[in-house]
Amino acid sequence: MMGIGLVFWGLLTSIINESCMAYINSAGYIRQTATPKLLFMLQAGWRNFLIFLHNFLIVILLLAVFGSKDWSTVSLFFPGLVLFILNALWIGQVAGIISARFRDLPQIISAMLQMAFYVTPILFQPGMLKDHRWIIDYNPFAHLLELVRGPLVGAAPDTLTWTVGIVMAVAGWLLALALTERYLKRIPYWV
Amino acid sequence: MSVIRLHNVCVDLPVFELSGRSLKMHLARLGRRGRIGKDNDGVVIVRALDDLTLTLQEGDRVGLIGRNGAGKSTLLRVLAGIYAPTAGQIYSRGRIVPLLDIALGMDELSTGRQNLRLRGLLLGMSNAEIRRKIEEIAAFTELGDHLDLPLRTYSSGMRLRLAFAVSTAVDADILLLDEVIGVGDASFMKKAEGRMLDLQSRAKIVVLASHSDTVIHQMCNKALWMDRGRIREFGPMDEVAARYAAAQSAG
Repeated sequence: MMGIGLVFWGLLTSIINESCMAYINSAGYIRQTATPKLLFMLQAGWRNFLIFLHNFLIVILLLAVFGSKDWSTVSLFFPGLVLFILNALWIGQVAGIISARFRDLPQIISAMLQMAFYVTPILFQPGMLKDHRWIIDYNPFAHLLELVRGPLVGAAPDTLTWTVGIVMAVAGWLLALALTERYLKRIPYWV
Repeated sequence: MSVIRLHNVCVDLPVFELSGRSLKMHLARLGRRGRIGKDNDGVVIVRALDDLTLTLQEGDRVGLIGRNGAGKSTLLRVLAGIYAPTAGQIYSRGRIVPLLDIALGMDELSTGRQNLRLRGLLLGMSNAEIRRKIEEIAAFTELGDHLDLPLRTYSSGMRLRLAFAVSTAVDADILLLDEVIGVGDASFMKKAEGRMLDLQSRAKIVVLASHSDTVIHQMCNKALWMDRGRIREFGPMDEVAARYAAAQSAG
Protein backbone atom coordinates (compact mmCIF):
# COMPACT_ATOMS: atom_id res chain seq x y z
CA MET A 1 0.00 0.00 0.00
CA MET A 2 2.86 2.34 0.80
CA GLY A 3 4.64 1.54 -2.45
CA ILE A 4 1.51 2.24 -4.49
CA GLY A 5 0.94 5.54 -2.71
CA LEU A 6 4.49 6.65 -3.37
CA VAL A 7 4.22 5.99 -7.10
CA PHE A 8 1.12 8.17 -7.42
CA TRP A 9 2.47 10.84 -5.12
CA GLY A 10 5.56 10.98 -7.32
CA LEU A 11 3.39 11.52 -10.41
CA LEU A 12 1.44 14.33 -8.73
CA THR A 13 4.41 16.22 -7.35
CA SER A 14 6.58 15.88 -10.44
CA ILE A 15 3.81 17.22 -12.68
CA ILE A 16 3.25 20.19 -10.36
CA ASN A 17 6.93 20.91 -9.79
CA GLU A 18 7.87 20.67 -13.44
CA SER A 19 4.86 22.72 -14.54
CA CYS A 20 6.20 25.54 -12.39
CA MET A 21 9.27 25.61 -14.60
CA ALA A 22 7.45 24.89 -17.87
CA TYR A 23 7.17 28.49 -19.07
CA ILE A 24 10.41 29.66 -17.48
CA ASN A 25 12.49 26.93 -19.11
CA SER A 26 10.86 27.46 -22.50
CA ALA A 27 11.68 31.17 -22.50
CA GLY A 28 13.85 30.70 -25.60
CA TYR A 29 10.92 29.40 -27.61
CA ILE A 30 8.36 31.79 -26.19
CA ARG A 31 10.45 34.86 -26.96
CA GLN A 32 11.42 33.83 -30.48
CA THR A 33 8.24 32.50 -32.09
CA ALA A 34 4.53 32.70 -31.57
CA THR A 35 3.79 29.27 -30.11
CA PRO A 36 0.65 27.89 -28.50
CA LYS A 37 1.70 28.19 -24.89
CA LEU A 38 -0.38 25.35 -23.48
CA LEU A 39 2.03 23.11 -25.35
CA PHE A 40 4.76 23.64 -22.76
CA MET A 41 2.42 22.66 -19.95
CA LEU A 42 1.21 19.54 -21.72
CA GLN A 43 4.84 18.69 -22.42
CA ALA A 44 5.50 18.57 -18.68
CA GLY A 45 2.34 16.53 -18.12
CA TRP A 46 3.08 14.03 -20.88
CA ARG A 47 6.73 13.57 -19.90
CA ASN A 48 5.77 12.74 -16.34
CA PHE A 49 2.95 10.49 -17.42
CA LEU A 50 5.43 8.41 -19.42
CA ILE A 51 7.75 8.23 -16.43
CA PHE A 52 4.76 7.20 -14.34
CA LEU A 53 3.97 4.34 -16.74
CA HIS A 54 7.44 2.99 -16.08
CA ASN A 55 7.00 3.33 -12.34
CA PHE A 56 3.64 1.64 -12.65
CA LEU A 57 5.49 -1.65 -13.12
CA ILE A 58 6.21 -1.47 -9.39
CA VAL A 59 2.48 -1.29 -8.69
CA ILE A 60 1.77 -4.28 -10.93
CA LEU A 61 4.56 -6.22 -9.25
CA LEU A 62 3.26 -5.37 -5.77
CA LEU A 63 -0.27 -6.41 -6.71
CA ALA A 64 1.00 -9.61 -8.28
CA VAL A 65 2.90 -10.56 -5.13
CA PHE A 66 0.57 -9.37 -2.39
CA GLY A 67 -2.74 -9.43 -4.25
CA SER A 68 -5.71 -7.21 -3.65
CA LYS A 69 -8.46 -7.58 -1.08
CA ASP A 70 -11.08 -7.24 -3.76
CA TRP A 71 -10.31 -7.34 -7.49
CA SER A 72 -13.76 -6.13 -8.52
CA THR A 73 -12.92 -2.50 -7.78
CA VAL A 74 -9.98 -2.35 -10.20
CA SER A 75 -12.11 -0.97 -13.06
CA LEU A 76 -12.75 2.15 -10.93
CA PHE A 77 -9.04 2.86 -11.17
CA PHE A 78 -9.31 4.31 -14.68
CA PRO A 79 -11.83 7.10 -14.02
CA GLY A 80 -9.90 7.72 -10.81
CA LEU A 81 -6.65 8.13 -12.70
CA VAL A 82 -8.25 10.51 -15.20
CA LEU A 83 -9.55 12.70 -12.37
CA PHE A 84 -6.20 12.51 -10.62
CA ILE A 85 -4.29 13.71 -13.67
CA LEU A 86 -6.84 16.41 -14.53
CA ASN A 87 -6.32 17.79 -11.05
CA ALA A 88 -2.54 17.62 -11.31
CA LEU A 89 -2.67 19.49 -14.63
CA TRP A 90 -4.77 22.41 -13.45
CA ILE A 91 -2.61 22.88 -10.39
CA GLY A 92 0.37 22.82 -12.74
CA GLN A 93 -1.14 25.37 -15.11
CA VAL A 94 -1.98 27.78 -12.28
CA ALA A 95 1.45 27.33 -10.72
CA GLY A 96 3.18 27.67 -14.08
CA ILE A 97 1.58 30.99 -14.96
CA ILE A 98 2.22 32.53 -11.55
CA SER A 99 5.76 31.12 -11.48
CA ALA A 100 6.57 32.91 -14.72
CA ARG A 101 5.90 36.17 -12.90
CA PHE A 102 7.09 35.34 -9.40
CA ARG A 103 10.26 33.31 -9.46
CA ASP A 104 10.18 32.21 -5.81
CA LEU A 105 6.92 30.31 -6.27
CA PRO A 106 8.51 27.03 -7.47
CA GLN A 107 10.50 26.82 -4.22
CA ILE A 108 7.45 27.73 -2.13
CA ILE A 109 5.39 25.08 -3.87
CA SER A 110 7.94 22.31 -3.53
CA ALA A 111 8.27 23.11 0.18
CA MET A 112 4.49 23.00 0.61
CA LEU A 113 4.23 19.71 -1.28
CA GLN A 114 6.84 18.29 1.06
CA MET A 115 4.65 19.28 4.00
CA ALA A 116 1.56 17.90 2.31
CA PHE A 117 3.41 14.63 1.93
CA TYR A 118 3.58 14.23 5.69
CA VAL A 119 -0.09 14.90 6.34
CA THR A 120 -1.27 12.63 3.54
CA PRO A 121 -1.64 8.94 4.35
CA ILE A 122 1.20 7.59 2.23
CA LEU A 123 3.70 6.40 4.81
CA PHE A 124 1.02 5.72 7.43
CA GLN A 125 -2.43 4.14 7.57
CA PRO A 126 -5.42 6.45 7.98
CA GLY A 127 -6.51 4.38 10.99
CA MET A 128 -3.36 5.28 12.93
CA LEU A 129 -4.57 8.85 13.43
CA LYS A 130 -7.45 7.95 15.82
CA ASP A 131 -8.74 11.33 17.10
CA HIS A 132 -7.08 13.32 14.35
CA ARG A 133 -8.83 11.86 11.35
CA TRP A 134 -9.86 15.38 10.33
CA ILE A 135 -6.32 15.82 9.01
CA ILE A 136 -7.22 13.38 6.26
CA ASP A 137 -10.85 14.36 5.84
CA TYR A 138 -9.91 17.97 5.11
CA ASN A 139 -6.85 17.13 3.03
CA PRO A 140 -7.68 17.28 -0.68
CA PHE A 141 -4.50 15.39 -1.54
CA ALA A 142 -5.63 12.47 0.60
CA HIS A 143 -8.85 12.29 -1.40
CA LEU A 144 -7.02 12.52 -4.70
CA LEU A 145 -4.69 9.73 -3.69
CA GLU A 146 -7.58 7.57 -2.54
CA LEU A 147 -9.15 7.89 -6.02
CA VAL A 148 -6.32 5.92 -7.57
CA ARG A 149 -4.97 3.83 -4.71
CA GLY A 150 -8.30 2.70 -3.28
CA PRO A 151 -9.53 0.83 -6.36
CA LEU A 152 -6.23 -0.99 -6.72
CA VAL A 153 -6.13 -2.31 -3.16
CA GLY A 154 -9.79 -3.28 -3.14
CA ALA A 155 -11.34 -0.32 -1.35
CA ALA A 156 -13.79 1.56 -3.57
CA PRO A 157 -13.52 5.31 -2.89
CA ASP A 158 -16.62 6.64 -1.12
CA THR A 159 -18.95 9.28 -2.50
CA LEU A 160 -17.24 12.11 -0.63
CA THR A 161 -13.93 11.26 -2.24
CA TRP A 162 -15.45 11.18 -5.74
CA THR A 163 -17.22 14.47 -5.08
CA VAL A 164 -14.05 16.14 -3.85
CA GLY A 165 -12.16 14.89 -6.90
CA ILE A 166 -14.78 16.05 -9.39
CA VAL A 167 -15.47 19.41 -7.75
CA MET A 168 -11.76 20.14 -7.49
CA ALA A 169 -11.18 19.26 -11.14
CA VAL A 170 -14.06 21.43 -12.39
CA ALA A 171 -13.45 24.41 -10.12
CA GLY A 172 -9.70 24.14 -10.58
CA TRP A 173 -9.89 24.11 -14.35
CA LEU A 174 -12.26 27.08 -14.32
CA LEU A 175 -9.71 28.95 -12.21
CA ALA A 176 -6.86 27.83 -14.44
CA LEU A 177 -8.68 28.88 -17.62
CA ALA A 178 -9.65 32.24 -16.14
CA LEU A 179 -6.01 32.88 -15.20
CA THR A 180 -4.89 31.71 -18.63
CA GLU A 181 -7.37 33.99 -20.37
CA ARG A 182 -6.14 36.95 -18.36
CA TYR A 183 -2.40 36.38 -18.29
CA LEU A 184 -1.43 34.22 -21.28
CA LYS A 185 -0.49 37.26 -23.33
CA ARG A 186 1.71 38.55 -20.54
CA ILE A 187 3.87 35.43 -20.42
CA PRO A 188 6.31 36.56 -23.17
CA TYR A 189 6.85 39.75 -21.19
CA TRP A 190 7.61 37.80 -18.01
CA VAL A 191 9.88 34.97 -19.05
CA MET B 1 -3.63 39.35 -49.98
CA SER B 2 -1.20 39.80 -47.13
CA VAL B 3 -1.25 42.84 -44.96
CA ILE B 4 -0.24 44.00 -41.51
CA ARG B 5 -1.91 46.96 -39.88
CA LEU B 6 -0.85 48.49 -36.59
CA HIS B 7 -3.12 50.99 -34.93
CA ASN B 8 -1.81 53.05 -31.99
CA VAL B 9 0.29 50.16 -30.79
CA CYS B 10 2.16 50.60 -27.53
CA VAL B 11 4.40 48.06 -25.84
CA ASP B 12 5.43 48.49 -22.21
CA LEU B 13 8.15 46.12 -21.17
CA PRO B 14 8.39 45.35 -17.47
CA VAL B 15 11.96 45.19 -16.26
CA PHE B 16 12.15 43.23 -13.07
CA GLU B 17 14.62 43.78 -10.30
CA LEU B 18 15.31 40.83 -8.09
CA SER B 19 12.73 41.86 -5.50
CA GLY B 20 10.11 42.41 -8.20
CA ARG B 21 10.33 38.69 -8.96
CA SER B 22 9.47 37.60 -5.45
CA LEU B 23 5.96 36.59 -4.42
CA LYS B 24 7.04 36.76 -0.78
CA MET B 25 8.11 40.41 -1.05
CA HIS B 26 4.98 41.17 -3.03
CA LEU B 27 2.70 39.79 -0.34
CA ALA B 28 4.71 41.42 2.44
CA ARG B 29 4.25 44.77 0.73
CA LEU B 30 0.47 44.40 0.69
CA GLY B 31 0.48 44.75 4.47
CA ARG B 32 2.34 48.01 4.63
CA ARG B 33 1.02 49.72 1.54
CA GLY B 34 0.40 53.38 2.20
CA ARG B 35 2.58 53.62 5.27
CA ILE B 36 5.79 54.05 3.34
CA GLY B 37 4.91 56.63 0.78
CA LYS B 38 6.90 55.67 -2.27
CA ASP B 39 7.54 52.00 -2.11
CA ASN B 40 9.64 50.68 -4.94
CA ASP B 41 7.92 47.49 -6.02
CA GLY B 42 10.92 46.26 -7.98
CA VAL B 43 9.35 46.66 -11.40
CA VAL B 44 10.39 49.36 -13.83
CA ILE B 45 8.21 49.85 -16.87
CA VAL B 46 9.96 50.79 -20.09
CA ARG B 47 7.91 52.01 -23.01
CA ALA B 48 9.55 50.18 -25.89
CA LEU B 49 7.05 51.13 -28.59
CA ASP B 50 5.07 54.31 -28.34
CA ASP B 51 1.89 54.81 -30.34
CA LEU B 52 2.80 53.17 -33.63
CA THR B 53 0.36 53.42 -36.52
CA LEU B 54 1.51 51.72 -39.65
CA THR B 55 0.32 49.70 -42.62
CA LEU B 56 2.47 47.23 -44.53
CA GLN B 57 1.16 46.06 -47.88
CA GLU B 58 2.01 43.43 -50.39
CA GLY B 59 5.26 44.17 -52.19
CA ASP B 60 6.71 46.12 -49.30
CA ARG B 61 10.34 45.40 -48.51
CA VAL B 62 10.81 47.35 -45.35
CA GLY B 63 14.19 48.07 -43.79
CA LEU B 64 14.07 48.92 -40.10
CA ILE B 65 16.73 51.44 -39.20
CA GLY B 66 17.53 53.26 -36.01
CA ARG B 67 20.01 53.23 -33.19
CA ASN B 68 20.42 50.44 -30.67
CA GLY B 69 17.46 50.32 -28.35
CA ALA B 70 15.20 52.23 -30.70
CA GLY B 71 12.66 49.40 -30.65
CA LYS B 72 13.49 47.56 -33.87
CA SER B 73 13.58 44.09 -32.36
CA THR B 74 10.55 44.78 -30.21
CA LEU B 75 8.63 45.86 -33.29
CA LEU B 76 9.61 42.63 -35.05
CA ARG B 77 8.35 40.67 -32.06
CA VAL B 78 5.05 42.51 -32.12
CA LEU B 79 4.69 41.84 -35.85
CA ALA B 80 5.47 38.17 -35.21
CA GLY B 81 2.72 37.94 -32.62
CA ILE B 82 5.13 37.19 -29.78
CA TYR B 83 4.41 40.31 -27.79
CA ALA B 84 0.74 41.19 -27.65
CA PRO B 85 0.60 45.01 -27.64
CA THR B 86 -0.20 46.51 -24.23
CA ALA B 87 -2.38 49.07 -25.99
CA GLY B 88 -3.68 49.44 -29.52
CA GLN B 89 -4.57 46.85 -32.13
CA ILE B 90 -2.71 44.77 -34.62
CA TYR B 91 -4.35 43.16 -37.62
CA SER B 92 -2.55 40.80 -39.94
CA ARG B 93 -3.36 38.42 -42.74
CA GLY B 94 -0.99 35.87 -44.22
CA ARG B 95 1.47 33.38 -42.82
CA ILE B 96 4.02 35.21 -40.74
CA VAL B 97 7.41 33.60 -40.24
CA PRO B 98 9.90 35.23 -37.92
CA LEU B 99 13.53 34.25 -38.50
CA LEU B 100 14.90 35.96 -35.42
CA ASP B 101 17.01 33.10 -34.15
CA ILE B 102 17.50 30.50 -36.87
CA ALA B 103 19.07 27.91 -34.59
CA LEU B 104 16.09 27.81 -32.22
CA GLY B 105 14.77 24.38 -31.42
CA MET B 106 17.83 22.41 -32.45
CA ASP B 107 18.43 19.39 -30.30
CA GLU B 108 21.97 18.27 -29.52
CA LEU B 109 21.25 14.57 -29.35
CA SER B 110 19.12 14.24 -32.47
CA THR B 111 20.61 13.66 -35.88
CA GLY B 112 20.83 16.34 -38.54
CA ARG B 113 17.81 14.96 -40.34
CA GLN B 114 15.71 14.83 -37.17
CA ASN B 115 16.72 18.40 -36.48
CA LEU B 116 15.61 19.46 -39.94
CA ARG B 117 12.18 18.08 -39.17
CA LEU B 118 12.10 19.59 -35.66
CA ARG B 119 13.07 23.01 -36.90
CA GLY B 120 10.63 22.73 -39.80
CA LEU B 121 7.73 21.98 -37.46
CA LEU B 122 8.69 24.93 -35.30
CA LEU B 123 8.63 27.17 -38.35
CA GLY B 124 5.06 26.08 -38.93
CA MET B 125 5.60 23.60 -41.78
CA SER B 126 3.33 20.60 -41.94
CA ASN B 127 4.65 17.05 -41.93
CA ALA B 128 3.80 16.66 -45.61
CA GLU B 129 5.55 19.90 -46.48
CA ILE B 130 8.69 18.76 -44.65
CA ARG B 131 8.69 15.39 -46.40
CA ARG B 132 8.39 17.18 -49.72
CA LYS B 133 11.24 19.55 -49.05
CA ILE B 134 13.65 17.54 -46.94
CA GLU B 135 15.74 16.15 -49.79
CA GLU B 136 16.19 19.58 -51.29
CA ILE B 137 17.15 21.00 -47.89
CA ALA B 138 19.54 18.15 -47.21
CA ALA B 139 21.22 18.66 -50.57
CA PHE B 140 21.61 22.35 -49.93
CA THR B 141 23.44 21.82 -46.64
CA GLU B 142 26.14 19.80 -48.46
CA LEU B 143 26.59 17.86 -45.25
CA GLY B 144 26.14 14.47 -46.91
CA ASP B 145 26.45 11.55 -44.52
CA HIS B 146 26.95 13.86 -41.57
CA LEU B 147 23.19 14.40 -41.61
CA ASP B 148 22.74 11.03 -39.96
CA LEU B 149 25.05 11.90 -37.08
CA PRO B 150 23.86 13.66 -33.94
CA LEU B 151 24.10 17.43 -33.84
CA ARG B 152 26.61 17.43 -31.00
CA THR B 153 29.28 16.17 -33.39
CA TYR B 154 28.82 19.19 -35.69
CA SER B 155 31.10 22.18 -35.89
CA SER B 156 29.49 25.58 -35.48
CA GLY B 157 29.74 26.19 -39.21
CA MET B 158 27.89 22.94 -39.95
CA ARG B 159 25.19 23.84 -37.44
CA LEU B 160 24.67 27.17 -39.13
CA ARG B 161 24.40 25.54 -42.54
CA LEU B 162 21.76 23.17 -41.23
CA ALA B 163 19.78 25.90 -39.50
CA PHE B 164 20.08 28.21 -42.48
CA ALA B 165 19.05 25.59 -45.03
CA VAL B 166 15.86 24.63 -43.24
CA SER B 167 14.92 28.13 -42.12
CA THR B 168 15.15 29.47 -45.64
CA ALA B 169 13.05 26.63 -47.08
CA VAL B 170 9.93 28.00 -45.46
CA ASP B 171 7.18 29.58 -47.55
CA ALA B 172 6.19 32.79 -45.83
CA ASP B 173 3.72 35.46 -46.82
CA ILE B 174 5.29 37.81 -44.34
CA LEU B 175 8.94 37.36 -43.50
CA LEU B 176 10.58 38.99 -40.48
CA LEU B 177 14.36 39.11 -40.29
CA ASP B 178 16.64 40.43 -37.57
CA GLU B 179 20.00 41.20 -39.17
CA VAL B 180 20.99 39.19 -42.18
CA ILE B 181 22.20 35.75 -41.51
CA GLY B 182 25.87 35.23 -42.26
CA VAL B 183 26.92 31.65 -42.83
CA GLY B 184 29.99 29.56 -43.30
CA ASP B 185 32.87 29.81 -45.72
CA ALA B 186 33.10 32.00 -48.81
CA SER B 187 31.69 29.53 -51.33
CA PHE B 188 28.71 28.69 -49.14
CA MET B 189 28.20 32.38 -48.46
CA LYS B 190 27.60 33.01 -52.14
CA LYS B 191 25.13 30.16 -52.37
CA ALA B 192 23.40 31.37 -49.22
CA GLU B 193 22.99 34.85 -50.60
CA GLY B 194 21.18 33.53 -53.64
CA ARG B 195 18.93 31.43 -51.47
CA MET B 196 18.19 34.36 -49.21
CA LEU B 197 17.14 36.47 -52.18
CA ASP B 198 14.98 33.65 -53.44
CA LEU B 199 13.31 33.34 -50.03
CA GLN B 200 12.60 37.06 -49.98
CA SER B 201 11.19 37.09 -53.48
CA ARG B 202 8.71 34.36 -52.51
CA ALA B 203 7.50 36.39 -49.53
CA LYS B 204 4.93 39.10 -50.12
CA ILE B 205 6.07 41.34 -47.32
CA VAL B 206 9.58 41.44 -45.86
CA VAL B 207 10.61 43.34 -42.77
CA LEU B 208 14.32 43.43 -42.10
CA ALA B 209 16.12 45.05 -39.18
CA SER B 210 19.72 45.82 -39.98
CA HIS B 211 22.57 48.16 -39.19
CA SER B 212 24.19 47.59 -42.55
CA ASP B 213 23.45 50.26 -45.13
CA THR B 214 24.45 48.06 -48.05
CA VAL B 215 22.04 45.32 -47.05
CA ILE B 216 19.15 47.72 -46.68
CA HIS B 217 19.94 49.36 -50.01
CA GLN B 218 20.12 45.99 -51.73
CA MET B 219 17.01 44.43 -50.36
CA CYS B 220 14.51 47.08 -49.40
CA ASN B 221 12.29 49.53 -51.19
CA LYS B 222 11.00 51.24 -48.07
CA ALA B 223 12.62 52.27 -44.84
CA LEU B 224 11.18 52.71 -41.37
CA TRP B 225 13.27 54.93 -39.12
CA MET B 226 12.69 54.19 -35.46
CA ASP B 227 13.74 56.57 -32.73
CA ARG B 228 13.16 55.89 -29.03
CA GLY B 229 10.16 53.70 -29.65
CA ARG B 230 8.48 56.02 -32.10
CA ILE B 231 8.35 56.17 -35.87
CA ARG B 232 10.59 59.01 -36.97
CA GLU B 233 9.96 58.50 -40.66
CA PHE B 234 8.43 55.90 -42.95
CA GLY B 235 8.71 56.16 -46.71
CA PRO B 236 10.72 55.32 -49.81
CA MET B 237 14.06 53.84 -48.88
CA ASP B 238 16.37 56.34 -50.58
CA GLU B 239 14.89 59.45 -49.00
CA VAL B 240 14.56 58.08 -45.47
CA ALA B 241 17.98 56.44 -45.49
CA ALA B 242 19.60 59.63 -46.72
CA ARG B 243 18.05 61.71 -43.97
CA TYR B 244 18.92 59.03 -41.41
CA ALA B 245 22.55 59.05 -42.55
CA ALA B 246 22.59 62.85 -42.35
CA ALA B 247 21.19 62.78 -38.83
CA GLN B 248 23.75 60.17 -37.80
CA SER B 249 26.72 62.17 -39.05
CA ALA B 250 25.34 65.33 -37.44
CA GLY B 251 25.36 63.40 -34.17
